[in-house]
Amino acid sequence: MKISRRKNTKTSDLHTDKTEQQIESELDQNIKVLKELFKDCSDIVFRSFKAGENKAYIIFVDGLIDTKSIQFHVLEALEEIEQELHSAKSVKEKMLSAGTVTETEKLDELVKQVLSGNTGLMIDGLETALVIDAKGGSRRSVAEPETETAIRGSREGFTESLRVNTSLVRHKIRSNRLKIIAKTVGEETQTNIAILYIDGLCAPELLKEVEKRIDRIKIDGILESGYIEELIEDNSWSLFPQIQNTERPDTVAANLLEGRVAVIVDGTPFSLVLPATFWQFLQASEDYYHRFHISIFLRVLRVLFIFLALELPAIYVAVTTYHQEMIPTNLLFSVAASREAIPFPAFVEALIMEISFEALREAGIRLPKLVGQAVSILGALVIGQAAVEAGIVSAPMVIIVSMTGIASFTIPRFNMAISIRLLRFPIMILAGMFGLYGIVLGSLVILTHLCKLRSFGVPYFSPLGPLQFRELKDVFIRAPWWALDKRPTQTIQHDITRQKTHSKPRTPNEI
Amino acid sequence: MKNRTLLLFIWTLLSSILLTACWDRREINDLAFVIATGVDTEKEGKYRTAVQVPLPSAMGGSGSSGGGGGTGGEGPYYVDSGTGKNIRDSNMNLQNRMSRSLYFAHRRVVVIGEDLAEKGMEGAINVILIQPQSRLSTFLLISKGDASEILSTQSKLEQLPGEAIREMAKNGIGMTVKDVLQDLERPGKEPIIPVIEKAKIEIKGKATEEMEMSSFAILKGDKVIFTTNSKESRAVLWLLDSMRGKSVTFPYGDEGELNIKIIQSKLNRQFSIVRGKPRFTLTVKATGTLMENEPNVSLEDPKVYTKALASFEKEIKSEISALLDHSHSEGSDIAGFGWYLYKNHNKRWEREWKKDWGNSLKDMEVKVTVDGEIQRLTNTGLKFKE
Repeated sequence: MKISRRKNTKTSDLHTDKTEQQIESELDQNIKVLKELFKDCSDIVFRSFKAGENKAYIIFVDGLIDTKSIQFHVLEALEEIEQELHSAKSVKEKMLSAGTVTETEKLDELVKQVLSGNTGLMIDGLETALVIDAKGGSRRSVAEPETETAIRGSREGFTESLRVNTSLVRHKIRSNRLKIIAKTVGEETQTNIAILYIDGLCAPELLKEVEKRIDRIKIDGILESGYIEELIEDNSWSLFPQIQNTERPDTVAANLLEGRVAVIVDGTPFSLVLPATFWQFLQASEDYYHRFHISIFLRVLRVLFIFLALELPAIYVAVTTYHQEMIPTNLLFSVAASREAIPFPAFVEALIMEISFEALREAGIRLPKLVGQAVSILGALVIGQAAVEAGIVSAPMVIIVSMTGIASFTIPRFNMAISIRLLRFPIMILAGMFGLYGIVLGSLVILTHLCKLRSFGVPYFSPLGPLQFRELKDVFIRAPWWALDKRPTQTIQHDITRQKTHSKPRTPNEI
Repeated sequence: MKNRTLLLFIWTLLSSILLTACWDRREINDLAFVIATGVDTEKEGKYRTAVQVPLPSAMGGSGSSGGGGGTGGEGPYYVDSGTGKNIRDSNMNLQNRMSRSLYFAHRRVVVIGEDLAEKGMEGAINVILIQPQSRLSTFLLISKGDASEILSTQSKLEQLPGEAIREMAKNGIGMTVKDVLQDLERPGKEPIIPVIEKAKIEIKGKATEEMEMSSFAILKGDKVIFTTNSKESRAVLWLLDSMRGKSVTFPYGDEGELNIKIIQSKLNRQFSIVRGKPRFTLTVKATGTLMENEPNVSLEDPKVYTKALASFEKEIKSEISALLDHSHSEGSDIAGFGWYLYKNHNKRWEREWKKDWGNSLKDMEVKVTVDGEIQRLTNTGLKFKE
């Protein structure tokens, strides 16, 4: 399907006031230009001072820099000098004690640096400005990731700061093969993003494709990684997420080690991991941290429950309205007894319950925590007891809907849970119209779609879609670590050895 | 242009799906779930079909307030019957009086009235086989008296009589429609169908009725020829290898009776031809636990054990012989000897025996041997005299 393109879009020059100007030796001239550029920007500070014999300015965004270190490393250091300054290089090398200092001769580069939180230093008589990195200001500190809590495993979550986030990953992978490509996206927001990969593991074609798709983006602003996700995914119309997002540095690290690429976006704790497969969304990072027995059990449980989350209400509707012979007799009688007073057909009943359950869940998320609790208590009463007692819905239906709710909470990734929640309704409608036949048809369509879908060239349903028998040890089950001696081959082509073989622990006698 | 065709396509597709509505939809509360049927004969070759339908609102599920037990009075079910030229016809007649459509997929019990069973019940069973809603795993029983009366006997232990009958059939020898149809089709094998009857019980002057399942109907073809007495009934269990868990009581001399609970029973057929005539030897291997010891004898004593065992074996032998003699004299091969010959000596069966099997049964020699063992004792017998 095509959507009619909006006319007269200016894709190339959104950023109109480009200053390709060189810095001049006349300081006042430069300052004049800059002040014009930063007109009405009350947070930009121009501070003049004497550096030796020369007049100098530092320019910074108030609130983004560490004023103390500027005070100590720049102002005090330069004010003590009593000679005339001739070259920026000597200033940088001899006089400034700040950590990172770069030179620039272009005015627009300076503007960019100032806006991203660095401090610009301009000295009269020099055609080069210095950019001092002394970022500061207040940012959220590293905290536990709220959307992906784990019983066992790292408690660090990404923050909104790109540098902190890359450092968290670097903490986990201390290898020079971990590469971090920096890019800036968003014509107005100038959002920094980082593309992380491990050289030698990640397929070069994949990296090239990711870079290509990100470079294609010409948008005014990127405020969250969701923007990027929607702009680079393979099939926009699919209900299924094709890129995984995570708040956990350990998840990113684990995926990098399996040859995937991560994209971290400044300003959001959610980083992107790609390519993603369907099964990845059914796995939690904890699966690899607990002992394998429970991980196997939990994974099988999740597969079962994702099926229930998708089809349970539909099966109930189909069986009670079309296939009564399939219900065990005694169960049928108790279902019949509770449905006796219900005025609605089973399908309408299911729809009412499912929709009110979804509304309740939405209400609980948006409201402040304290009110949210009241909503959930109220909802439990309304959906549960009162509705049954009033004879609007039957008790088995309440059980079915709550089972479905619980089932959708067992899916570890929220974005997959959303797809399943949405798909539940068409399947229910099919069940209401055609019974089990409709459910089978609907499921077939979904399955076909899943097998057809690709994420950055990797079949979405692999290793089950095209069956790769060897890879199945990390899908429905999680084989013990000593058996996971090969990396998954979906993205890695050459270096697939993860550990030496036969690493199963043995007692000394056995050796 | 391309978009318009696509839209049109989706539009037609959607309307063809959505405008058709849900043709076959039946809500649970539009159905009358038949859990038991009774079939009787009426005058002029008519049938009377009785159905038992539970009343969900009276069964006391959640949402339907009230319901629940109470002694006496009507149970949470409804029995009605209709007449017609055939069974389908009588069902239609019944449907005229019902606000919900009859639904037979949950029928668990079919009771055939005595009269109909004696006239031949193949027609009635065939309807069950042919009708798509019914299940072949439905239990088939024969009632003493009218089947419709059995259906309206309130069981005290279960909410629904149909459920009570099913449980009894399941725990005893339950013959499903499939079993009976198979036996009817097999050459040289006649079906055995349990009989259900009303039993009057009186406790403290209060007379009530319960259903009882203690005897079996012996058929020839699709007609019942006689109903077993209690001795013969136990023999049926021996023949069907179903004695496990049941007990045998036999005398120990004149001193009293011993009771043995069977923990293992196995029937073997041996076949030989003596002077051109088939001869069968039935060997019953019966292992049991001594449960009651009236004469207080010590079975550890080999002499006592041999005597007890001989009496035990004699009891079993007499039971089996009684049944076989009776049914063979009526020409009904309930042990399936003919079926054995059909399977193992098919050519001779087709050539010699098939034609007049019913009559040749009468003077066929069947030897019954019992290989008994009393394996365990639960009660060694306290001796108070000492």
